Amino acid sequence: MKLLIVDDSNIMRKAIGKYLSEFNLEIVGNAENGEKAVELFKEHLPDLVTLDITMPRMDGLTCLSKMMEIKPDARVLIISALKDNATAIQAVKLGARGFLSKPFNEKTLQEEITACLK
Amino acid sequence: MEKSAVDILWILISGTLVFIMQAGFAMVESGMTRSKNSINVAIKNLTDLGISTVFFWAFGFAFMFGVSFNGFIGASNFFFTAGSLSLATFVFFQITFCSTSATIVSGAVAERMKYSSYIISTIIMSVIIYPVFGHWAWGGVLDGTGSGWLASKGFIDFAGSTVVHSMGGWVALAILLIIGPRLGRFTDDGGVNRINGSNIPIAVLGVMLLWFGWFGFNGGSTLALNDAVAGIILRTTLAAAAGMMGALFAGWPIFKKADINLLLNGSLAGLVAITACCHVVSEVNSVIIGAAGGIIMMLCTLLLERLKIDDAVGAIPVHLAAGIWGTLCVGIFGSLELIGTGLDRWSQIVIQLIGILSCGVWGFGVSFAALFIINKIFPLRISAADERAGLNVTEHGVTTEILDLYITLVEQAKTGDISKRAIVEPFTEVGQIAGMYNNVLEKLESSTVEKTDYVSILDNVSDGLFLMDKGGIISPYHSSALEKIFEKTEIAGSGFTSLISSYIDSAVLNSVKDYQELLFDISRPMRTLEKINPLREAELFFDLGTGEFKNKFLEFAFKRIEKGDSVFRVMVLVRDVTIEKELAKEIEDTQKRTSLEMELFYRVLHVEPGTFSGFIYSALDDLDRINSTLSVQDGDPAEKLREIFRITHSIKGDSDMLGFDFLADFAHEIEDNISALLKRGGIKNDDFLSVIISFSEFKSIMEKMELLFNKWGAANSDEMPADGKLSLQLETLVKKLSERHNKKAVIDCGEVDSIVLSTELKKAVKDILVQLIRNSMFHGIEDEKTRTESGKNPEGRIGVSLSKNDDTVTLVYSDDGQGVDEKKIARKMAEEGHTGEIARRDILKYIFTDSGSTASSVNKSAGRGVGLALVKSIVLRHKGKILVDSRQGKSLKFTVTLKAGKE
Amino acid sequence: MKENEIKVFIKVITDYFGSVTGGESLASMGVPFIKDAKSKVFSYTAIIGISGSRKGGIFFTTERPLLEDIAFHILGEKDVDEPTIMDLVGEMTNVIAGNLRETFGSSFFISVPIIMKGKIE
Repeated sequence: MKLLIVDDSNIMRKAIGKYLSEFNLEIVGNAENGEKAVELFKEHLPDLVTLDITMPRMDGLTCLSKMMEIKPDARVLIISALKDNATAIQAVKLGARGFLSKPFNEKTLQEEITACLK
Repeated sequence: MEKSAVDILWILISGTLVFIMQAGFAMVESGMTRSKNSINVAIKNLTDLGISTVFFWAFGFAFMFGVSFNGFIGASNFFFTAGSLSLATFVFFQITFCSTSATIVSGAVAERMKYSSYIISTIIMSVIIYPVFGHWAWGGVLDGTGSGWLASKGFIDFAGSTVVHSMGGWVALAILLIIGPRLGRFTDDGGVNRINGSNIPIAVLGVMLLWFGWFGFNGGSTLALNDAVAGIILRTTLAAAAGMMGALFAGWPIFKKADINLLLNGSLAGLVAITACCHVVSEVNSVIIGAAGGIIMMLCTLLLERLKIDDAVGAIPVHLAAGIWGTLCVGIFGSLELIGTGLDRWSQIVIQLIGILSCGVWGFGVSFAALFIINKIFPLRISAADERAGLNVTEHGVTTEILDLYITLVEQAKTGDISKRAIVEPFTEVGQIAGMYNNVLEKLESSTVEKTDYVSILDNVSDGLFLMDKGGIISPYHSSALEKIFEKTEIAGSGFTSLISSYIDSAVLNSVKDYQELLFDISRPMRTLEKINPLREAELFFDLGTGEFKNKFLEFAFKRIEKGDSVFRVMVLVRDVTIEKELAKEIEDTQKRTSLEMELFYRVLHVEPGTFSGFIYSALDDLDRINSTLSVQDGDPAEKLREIFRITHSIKGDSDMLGFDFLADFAHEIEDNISALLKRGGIKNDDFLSVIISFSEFKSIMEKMELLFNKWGAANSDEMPADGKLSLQLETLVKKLSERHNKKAVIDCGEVDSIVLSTELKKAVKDILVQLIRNSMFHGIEDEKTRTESGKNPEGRIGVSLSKNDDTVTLVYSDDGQGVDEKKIARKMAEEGHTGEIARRDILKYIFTDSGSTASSVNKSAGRGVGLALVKSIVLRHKGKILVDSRQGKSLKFTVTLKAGKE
Repeated sequence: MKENEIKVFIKVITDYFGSVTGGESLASMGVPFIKDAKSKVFSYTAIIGISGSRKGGIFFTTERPLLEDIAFHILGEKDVDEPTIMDLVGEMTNVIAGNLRETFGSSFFISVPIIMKGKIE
């Protein structure tokens, strides 16, 4: 399975990659903004994406809707610091499979990913 | 036209037989329609009989059989008076024919036409439509009146296949096109629903009566008992039988059953068909004509269904279609010799066709035009609601057992309450059904305990619990707690979002709408949805309608109920967690408050209570002065600011002195702000906003301090219990102060407890008394030794009396101490730079100033010089006055009056 | 409440009078002061409760001539009956409170107005 990690924080991207090393996932790309995320998505067509909402150069929701146009069956896990439900609901409406709020730890991320992959 | 007695007898018998047909029509039509309309249908038959009889006699007969005007219309013998026996017989016979034609309409239009409209159409028919065409075909029968134009051309319609039956059919068709089909007869998707008759045995009896009456209808049309009569009756009955069989056997393979309507209407179609030609055809032909009539009737029935024309009893197929056929049969099968028009067969057929067409043009044309216009002004059709309820009730106010049963069933379907029982009308079929239905209900109720249990759970569970469907509609069964939570009833059936819409923020509401959609989309993982529940902890705002809101904290939980591959319902659980939330909030607030109060408390501990309360009073007083300065709308703004600055400055000084640094800093900030404004100049009203906000904050701090003082300062002061009777509080205070100052004193409080005062005044009186007592115990009352030496009672006496009238409260306070030491004060005033003579009045005023204390040391009770100053500020606040009566070495008396109502 | 918020409030009120009178009346703020228990109540008073993002109330008190003048601007009639006047007090308060939602957001809940007649002596 191919994984794309999208987050504007370098540390977060590293952490996500590390936390998910136990899973049988091939990390096909790391993106620090929405535009790059869409490019990488087009190129690799990943099965799984972890996606931040607040990012420079294209926010997560726009990014998500573009991804869903390209590959509707991709499983997207939103990882965001935004606590408001309205944004989360919008994300799920657009096709996100899961939602994880920051801060998170190894265990909660793994649980979410397991649920997403089901 | 003089007739023999036998002929007259035969015509009268025939007329009576035709009359019987009215009963037949009534039976057929009411039997073939639904019982909710049966009474209306039957009564219409009686009505058209009566109406047509009178109107035909009065006008119709004249138009039909009066002296002909160019063969188009008769015009004599209105309100006919029979000159002879023969004529009377003839008129009677013709009236029954007109009634027959008129009554055909009633069956076709049954179950939806207004009763009053039907009366109008019957009148038009009996006066104009039937008689005029009748004149064309049959005019000239009376001697010297001249033939109608169709008769002159050789048109033959023996007993009225066209004149009577088709005519009825044409008018029926016109009305049907105007009023349209019955509700539910044809569905939007092209379906056809047969509406079954309520009483087929009655309809069968009706058909037999018609068959029987027809012997007179055809047999009497000879207008004489001649040798043709028997043959005519034979052929009539043969045709009827053949019509029945023709329709039955042609229809059986098509409908896969022996259709009742075909049997009934087949017989009638045979009769209608033979009516025109029964005098000129053979018996074999009559069978053919009858059978064909039955088949034509059936085909016409199918055609009408396809055209979505709803003929309730099949009057058009029977009377119009078979009538046309029968009229043509004169030309097709009739013996030219017997016809006697001198036309060849082809010409005869042509003139028959002309007759049929002219009947259609006249009958359909006139009735359609007239009724179309009438319908625009006065609708012919009843309302949909009336149609559903049935015309028996709506038109005539009569009910039938079946309606009662129906009402019970509707009620049960609506409320779901099956505890109600149907009315059992004894000795009726419907009554038996109702009885059986009640038995079924008993069984049903006893075997559905589970449901009752379920409902009782809903009644007892303390959380709101309900199901909603895909449209968000709340199901009929929900827990009764739901109504308590939302403080409204009749929640079932409303939408979930509309239920909560008035209590929550519209942004949240939009999220809820989206969320609801996601809940019903099974492809969205529930695990994720649970996390993003926008109502997990929702604060709802209930407008109490009193200008206040009640906030409720509700927790919503959603659970999918799946059926197959989709979400069938969503179960919603609502918990009211307001109390828990409020508790948590209170704890939080308390913690926050405590930290501020701790700081204040710390300061307060270092200030003597009297001084502290004096400070609060005067500061609040100052703030009030600032506010009243502002509330006066005119005056120079800069001057106002300067005045405010002065007052602020004095508050700052006091705060500083007592060590309330944070208040002093605050006042200093305000001063800076005002100075800056004054320096800038051009003061506008807007500039006061920042000043006023600062003061409002300052005031709330002061009020908080006052509260704190009342709670802690006074309660924990070592001198006085915080509550209880005022007299008791004062006695305690005197006792404690006696011990502290080593003086003996008692207080007589008189009736102070019995005077009822507002809370505010009570506090003012108490605060004044506390200061005066302190003053007495410190300054006034001498120690035991001094008192004994000066010949006084060793025990000092303090007296308090309180009285109240409409607008003032008077407090008289006295002690028997040494009074004001005027010399000492005068000395002090002189030291402070008071020059010239110091009047006694000035001395007494001076003791109420901040520096008026004569104590040589500052201690806990007095000496800071705020005691009497505080009294003064309290009195000023209450727009009161103080009188001082001091007798050196003997006594001191204060008379304080306060305004009972502030402002 | 912050100074800016009070300014919004004042603007809504002055705008209200401006628009109702078709720009004829230019309302402006007088010298502000703190309302307390001693503050006056005029003959007509409406109160609207506030909940949600803010808690408290809006209080509007006035004398009849002002209301008659406003009623004249709205209805074009000089003589208005008592129920209309009462209704107007509530309506004015309601409009002002409603306009505030623009600034204070949709969680600024306003209650139905309570209307009182007469002074409290």
